[in-house]
Amino acid sequence: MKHFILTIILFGLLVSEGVALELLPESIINLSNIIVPHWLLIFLVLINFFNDGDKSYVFIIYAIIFGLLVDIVYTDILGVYMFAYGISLFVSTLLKRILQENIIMAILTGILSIITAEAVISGVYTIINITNVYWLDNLFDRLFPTIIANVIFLIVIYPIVKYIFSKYSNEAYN
Amino acid sequence: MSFLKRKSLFVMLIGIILMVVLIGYSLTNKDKFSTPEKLVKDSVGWVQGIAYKPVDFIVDSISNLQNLKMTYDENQVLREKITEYKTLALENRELEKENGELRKALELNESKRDYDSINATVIARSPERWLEQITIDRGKKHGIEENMAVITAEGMIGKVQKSSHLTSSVQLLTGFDNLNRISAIVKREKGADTFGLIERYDQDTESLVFRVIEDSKQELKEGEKVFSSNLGGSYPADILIGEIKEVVQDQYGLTKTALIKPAANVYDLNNVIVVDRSLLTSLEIEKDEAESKTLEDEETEEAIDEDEEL
Repeated sequence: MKHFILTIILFGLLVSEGVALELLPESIINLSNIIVPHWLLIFLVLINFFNDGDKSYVFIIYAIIFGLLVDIVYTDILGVYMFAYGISLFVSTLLKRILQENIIMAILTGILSIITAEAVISGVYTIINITNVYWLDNLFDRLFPTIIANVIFLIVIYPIVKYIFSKYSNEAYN
Repeated sequence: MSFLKRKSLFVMLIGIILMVVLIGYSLTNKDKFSTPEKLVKDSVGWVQGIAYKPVDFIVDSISNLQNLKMTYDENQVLREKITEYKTLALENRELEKENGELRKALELNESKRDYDSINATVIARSPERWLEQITIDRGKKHGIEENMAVITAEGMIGKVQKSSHLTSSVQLLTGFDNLNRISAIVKREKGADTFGLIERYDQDTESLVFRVIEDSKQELKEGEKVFSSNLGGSYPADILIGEIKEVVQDQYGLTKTALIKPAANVYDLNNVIVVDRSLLTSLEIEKDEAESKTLEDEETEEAIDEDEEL
């Protein structure tokens, strides 16, 4: 049941990523800055962050499956997002062992996982010649705006996920 | 711990190999979806179609409110224009009729301007901005094939990259690379037209790069309009692509390149039209390739002869 709900939520996020750019005003999109919504990744990282159990590999598998779905639905080049999301979930799992459970640490984990994913994505896209942007330009034009936009999303959903988890763990204790 | 580390390293290596295989697969099959891809794409597309409607409604109503302010002024201008258009429409109808009659007299059945159009709605835009792709809610079932041109009322916006059964992905002009060239033409009222190729989209100058292949001894000027030409094969003629923004010499000073500002706004898309050069579908080409070729040649030769006589 838990997995069913999680899958439904992730699927909803997958679909809404496609209309995310429509919701932004055109003046922001028209700039040279590129904002890439990584909502699936942020959501999975947060859930992994709150999850106390040691079954974090389950979320890595989720990340790999939904990364592949992003590839199929939005990019038509298979494997890139799949690998990037898998790796960055792995990184966030490593971080979770060190960090405490509060919002600043959650933001830090989110930022690091986005940096990992973006590094893999731009690296692979450069190798297969989809883009050839100088890495410094890439840093300012794509990475920073993407981090800012996704951290805002993380801050918005943080209380919601936290509430769900606290309720769930209370139920488990009772 | 060392065992765990070794295990995760092992998994990562398998992951990298899998990624390379998948990328290799998708790069070699650039113009076709595999069956599982089609299945996923169509089922997600169905949900996207539903999810897009409320979002579209909200976005539309916001922009409508913004437009409301300018409505009165626009209305005045448009009213004046309508009267002009009425006479133009009448003239146009006369000319069309005359054109049709002349064509019939010459026994020319196909026109390079003819196309079938399929209306489609945009249901998603790829969040990966480097690829500049959108998904539309029409696919093979509705007659969409790869490489058809996609336009809006303002002008050309891209081409169909891959089509699935119920949805298709469209490559936007802003994501065009060397593999997607468009043969284009600069039309002039006086003097010869200039032919060329639209080679790619340049991210730095935010414009399409138009290379002149046939020098018509007439300088390209800023503000001249660039249309698609029928020589490219898959696109119908006379679709507006954009306007010349700047003319530059190329690296070696041998040819001219012009930077073109696309006519259509690719960031604000709702309804698009997929156009197909009618009577030139692949099946028919296979069927009577040789036949139609010879016929066309004869017809054009006849047309040229008659022109000369006149």
